Amino acid sequence: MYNAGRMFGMIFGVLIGLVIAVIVLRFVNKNKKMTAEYDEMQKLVRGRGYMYAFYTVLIFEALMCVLSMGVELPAEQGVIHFVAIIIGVTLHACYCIWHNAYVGLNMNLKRYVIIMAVVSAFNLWVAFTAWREGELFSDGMFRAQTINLLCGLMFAVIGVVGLVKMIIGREEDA
Amino acid sequence: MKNLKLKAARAEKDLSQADLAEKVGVSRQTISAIEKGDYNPTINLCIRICKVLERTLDELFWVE
Repeated sequence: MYNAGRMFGMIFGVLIGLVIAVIVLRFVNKNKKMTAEYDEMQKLVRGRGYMYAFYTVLIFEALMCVLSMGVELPAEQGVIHFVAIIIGVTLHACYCIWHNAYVGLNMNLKRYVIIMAVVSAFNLWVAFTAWREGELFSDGMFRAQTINLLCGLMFAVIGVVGLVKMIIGREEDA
Repeated sequence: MKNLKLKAARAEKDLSQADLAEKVGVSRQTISAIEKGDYNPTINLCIRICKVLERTLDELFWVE
């Protein structure tokens, strides 16, 4: 019963996240379109970014698979797989931002950085609340609430890389 | 290899990288990468750039 409730909670959370993502995308894109438009160089760089992220996730998951056979990892199974997703997404996003291929032709980097900061702060706040109530780490294991901490850190890293790139871009334009 | 011919042709037309980028439908960074020689554009993009700058492919992209 507890697991079913938790699963429904997570599904509900993901659905809410999707609705927010749709609203955010419309806000970020200059032409109010849902999808980003990239030029040929950006598509090339993004492809390379996907490749690096794919191999990184593959290696990480293989490593965790081997490790889990020998030792008991100090985290719930879901958390370990989520770490792989976080690493892949962060790597792809940072690579693309750094090579000018994350923000499409119809997107605004400044708005993107603001959203990253807000989403990061929200996730870190949820993680902090969970930590205060002892739900982040208990019985020697990182619990599901760690996902909020990971998301918060991921959005913070992406936001900082975006901010640095924005400053560099301004200097190049000047 | 830097594409100085493209940079010169753009300057002659009094266009910034951002202006040219907007006219050919790419990002400013893509124009910058072409001028620096960091990116080899496709033939379609080369043609679009040539049309905007009123030059031939040879004039802008042929390497001696």
